[in-house]
Amino acid sequence: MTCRQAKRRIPLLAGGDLSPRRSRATQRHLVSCPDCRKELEATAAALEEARALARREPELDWSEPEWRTVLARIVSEGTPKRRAGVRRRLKPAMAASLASAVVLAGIAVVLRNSIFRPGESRPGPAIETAQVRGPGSPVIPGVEPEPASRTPKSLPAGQDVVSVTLVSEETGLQVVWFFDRNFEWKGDDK
Amino acid sequence: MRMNEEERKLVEMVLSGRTEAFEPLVRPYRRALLALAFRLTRNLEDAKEVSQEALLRAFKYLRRCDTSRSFRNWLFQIAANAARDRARRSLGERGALEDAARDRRPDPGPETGRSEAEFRSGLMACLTALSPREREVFVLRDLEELDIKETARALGCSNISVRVHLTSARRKIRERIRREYPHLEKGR
Repeated sequence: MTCRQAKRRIPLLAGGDLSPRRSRATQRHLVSCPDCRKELEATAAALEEARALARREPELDWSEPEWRTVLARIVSEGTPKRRAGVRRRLKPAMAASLASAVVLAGIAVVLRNSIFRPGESRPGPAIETAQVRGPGSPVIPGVEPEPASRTPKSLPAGQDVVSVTLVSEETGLQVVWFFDRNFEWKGDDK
Repeated sequence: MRMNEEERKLVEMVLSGRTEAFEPLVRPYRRALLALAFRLTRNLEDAKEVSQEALLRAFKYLRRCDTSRSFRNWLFQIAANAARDRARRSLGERGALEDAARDRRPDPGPETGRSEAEFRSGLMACLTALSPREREVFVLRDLEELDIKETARALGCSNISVRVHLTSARRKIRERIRREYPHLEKGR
């Protein structure tokens, strides 16, 4: 072992934190190297002095009324908690997204059960019928005109698309969903 | 080191709703906790706030306490985290440390006076020479005498990281004592 290697290990050796194998190897070097031995003694002495300084420090303590006040506050403020479950670890944004998804899914189910009911038409406040397809009508990707013979009787003649507009009160963001008469989702527009 | 039987009973009592058992659970460590917080923050007011925060967290999260482990070490781990959180929040930590090194000690008594101030400022000066991580490692391992493994666990780092920081901390402490406190190195 070289002096450089030994000196790297001396701070840990001085505090007894070197593994037995490394400690033995370093000790073997120290036997034959007075310079490194001196370094070890100085480090151990400094370490002991720092510990002695810490021991001689006047002991800090709480006054009894202060301690009682602190404990009373802790017991009144805190309640031992259960381990954090999966739900507790959900971030607020994720929770909001999840809630929005649930609400939208609920709306979709309601619409599916009400809009395309045969022989009945119940337009709601958030439901608007799309313009009849024709020249100049907005092009909806993926939606192809259906033959008139397959159009349900409940829909106005020629209508094969229903749009649902969702408007966020907070952000003003509008999302329009387009469905065909079988309530197959055909696209959206923001 | 494991949690002793009495502590285990007290923990169970607190968790079952008998919150009055928390005080006897933490009372044996109240001075050690305050001393640790003081050595990490180097300011008595901060130390008291860190200790309070540590006690509050210990109370809130007592259910997570591993009974196969020393309660003291668990408490120290929480205090070290609380001190680190506080240091992150506070600006000018370095300046505060240097102020502390200039003999800013809590409530010196006239009769204890000079020698205590010397000891405290001597230790403060040593700790001021260290980086925050080195200081945490040195305080927990060398002053509070946790072993390497417990120190690593308390600080949420590896044993190797503790050894690396401990090595540099001890070197700096030695240099500091040799350079600025030669009378301490020689022994009084």
